[in-house]
Amino acid sequence: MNRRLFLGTALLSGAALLTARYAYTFFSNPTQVMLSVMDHLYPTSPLGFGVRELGVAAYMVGVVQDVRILPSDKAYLKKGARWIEEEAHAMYDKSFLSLNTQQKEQLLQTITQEPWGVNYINYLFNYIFEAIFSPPIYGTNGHEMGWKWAEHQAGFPLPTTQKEITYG
Amino acid sequence: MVDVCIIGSGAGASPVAYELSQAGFKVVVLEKGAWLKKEDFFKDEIAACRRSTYTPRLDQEQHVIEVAGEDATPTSVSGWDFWNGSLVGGSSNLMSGYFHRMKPQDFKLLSTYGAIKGANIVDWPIDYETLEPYYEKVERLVGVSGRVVAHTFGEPRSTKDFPYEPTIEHGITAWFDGACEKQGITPLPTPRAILPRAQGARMGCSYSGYCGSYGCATGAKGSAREALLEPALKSGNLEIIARAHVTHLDSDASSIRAAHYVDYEGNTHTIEAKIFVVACQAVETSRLLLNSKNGYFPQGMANSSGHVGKNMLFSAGGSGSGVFYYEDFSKESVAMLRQMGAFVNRSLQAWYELQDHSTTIKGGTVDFLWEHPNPVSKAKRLLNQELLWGDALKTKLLAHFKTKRTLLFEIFCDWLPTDGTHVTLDPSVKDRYGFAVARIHLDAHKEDLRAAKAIAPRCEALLKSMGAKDIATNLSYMPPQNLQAGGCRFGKDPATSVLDANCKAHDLDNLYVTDGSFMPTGGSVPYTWTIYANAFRVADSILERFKKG
Repeated sequence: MNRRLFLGTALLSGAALLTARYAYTFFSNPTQVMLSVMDHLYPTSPLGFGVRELGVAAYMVGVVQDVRILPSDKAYLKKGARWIEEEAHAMYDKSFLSLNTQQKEQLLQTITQEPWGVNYINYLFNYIFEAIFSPPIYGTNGHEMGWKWAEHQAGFPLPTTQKEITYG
Repeated sequence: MVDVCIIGSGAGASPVAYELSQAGFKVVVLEKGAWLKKEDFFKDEIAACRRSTYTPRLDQEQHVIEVAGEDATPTSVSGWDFWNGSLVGGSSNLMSGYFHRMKPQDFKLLSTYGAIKGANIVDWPIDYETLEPYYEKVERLVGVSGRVVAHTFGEPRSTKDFPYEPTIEHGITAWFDGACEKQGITPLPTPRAILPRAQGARMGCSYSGYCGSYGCATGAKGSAREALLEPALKSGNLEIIARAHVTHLDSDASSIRAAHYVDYEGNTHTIEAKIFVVACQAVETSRLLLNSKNGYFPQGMANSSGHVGKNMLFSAGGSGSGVFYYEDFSKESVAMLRQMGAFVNRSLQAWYELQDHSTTIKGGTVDFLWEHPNPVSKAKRLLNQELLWGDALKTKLLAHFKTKRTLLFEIFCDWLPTDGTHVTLDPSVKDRYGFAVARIHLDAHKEDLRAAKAIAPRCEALLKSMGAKDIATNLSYMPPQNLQAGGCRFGKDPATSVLDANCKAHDLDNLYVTDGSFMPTGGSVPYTWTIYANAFRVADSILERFKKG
């Protein structure tokens, strides 16, 4: 049975609910897991910068604070990270944060065989690509590194102050 | 009491505000969104395209979409955002400004091409000649640039050419024109609601390369705000109240008495006026009228016919693309292909009518344009083909950005009005003010893609002859939410239409609807120019009425 479907069904019973809650207490912080997944998806490599150089951790703080984003979308960021953490425990009996690169790769290959995994990884890429290609005032794409790397020509004028990206 | 209260501030609202305020009448415009000006607009993909910056957040205000045969789904769940621009000037701030007039036969679709089973086609109560002076007025006041070229389906004009010369054209245009010539097709410079040079307080286009979906920082784009509302403010007779969400209208048996709105802080207000004009964009106009039930109009305001919300229109057709790989071309050609900023500005109307199995059918318009340069969206499209990460992704991303450019075509055909495509009030989902949201029922007529299926291969052949590869077309029965009309069709018979020929409600003596809602059929073109023109026409009829006292 699909792991997400299994969890959803199991939660209908009180015993399963207790089990699930108990298990969650051993899980790592979902934000840390999410950032670690992003780091694996877009790592620093000879082909170019990774999310660390982009400052994606700070960028995601801005995402969580952005009132224009649906609360359910923000919740999904953490929910997906919890699912991945579950998967890490199921596959390796430890947190995603403790996996080596090969194990992380294997885990991501495994979950992307299922729709929930594909959806969640695709969703994270929304923010990874935003971090690569946003105007630098958002605190990422420093020195326009993403634009230069892709030889992308930005439009003009660009926002240059925090006030200019709050839009009244 | 003011003379005129206008609900909405886009292409259907602003001509009325402009004309009436300039003529000395006191006008109030109520706009649910913020009042942003050109200095507030930046080429910021995050704000313009990836956040609910110019539109409501979907958990606060949304729609419910019901595609025939499927469950109804709130847009906060599906993510299919049906908002187009809730800000002063409406979605005209964010348009690309591809402006095409409807043609004489579009005003009499039924009598020209005949009935189609299952489609509620009717002739308009006015003809092209009636609207032509107003198309011309839009060219001057809103600002339309272009160059008239004679062709088989060219519409009659009262002036020889456009008042503004075309905007700067991209080098690919020469290739396109050459390919058309070989195939015996007349390429048309696309009329654009974009100024090529400064005019009054508006600057000319800066050719940043980012136009559609973005507010214009120079004022070159002919948005309702820039072209009409801001000049009208100088009359001293126009008041724009932003962040004023009109929840419902009040009436007695024959007249609208008041519009009720909620401000940004949640306080409720009432506006009384001699004339009320509703122009909230088609879906929301129907919703406002349906939400304004009272003892006199238990089915909703102006809805004794039961036709409010019926026969919604979108644009039928779809789009296609072809890829120019730099490795296939000379260094000089690649430099041309990589050029940013200038517009393709080419369209085709060679197939506005088609012969299909010895029958003449209505065809369509095709616009050609470069793929939008938005980098986040562009990167996401790569992942839509294949989910990759790590260096495999980086390698493909670099190739995706650095080795090619994609030319698109968009086909605009008539969306046939049907009983199945309409707007009602959702029985359970409310907006943040407690009012029912619109449920949009979609059931496209199976003939909607007939013309587009005939046109698309001809466009593909053009792209191929220009040297493009990976040519593909995507035609769909799903509607583009930014091209919406209908729901309050105008007509002579109060039993089968909501508005009279002057877009005044049959049921009420002081209610007008001036967005695209009035259209019983939409023509095979984008609607904005026609909406602007018709609103100028209605403004004249209101002025005439005031003169008569």
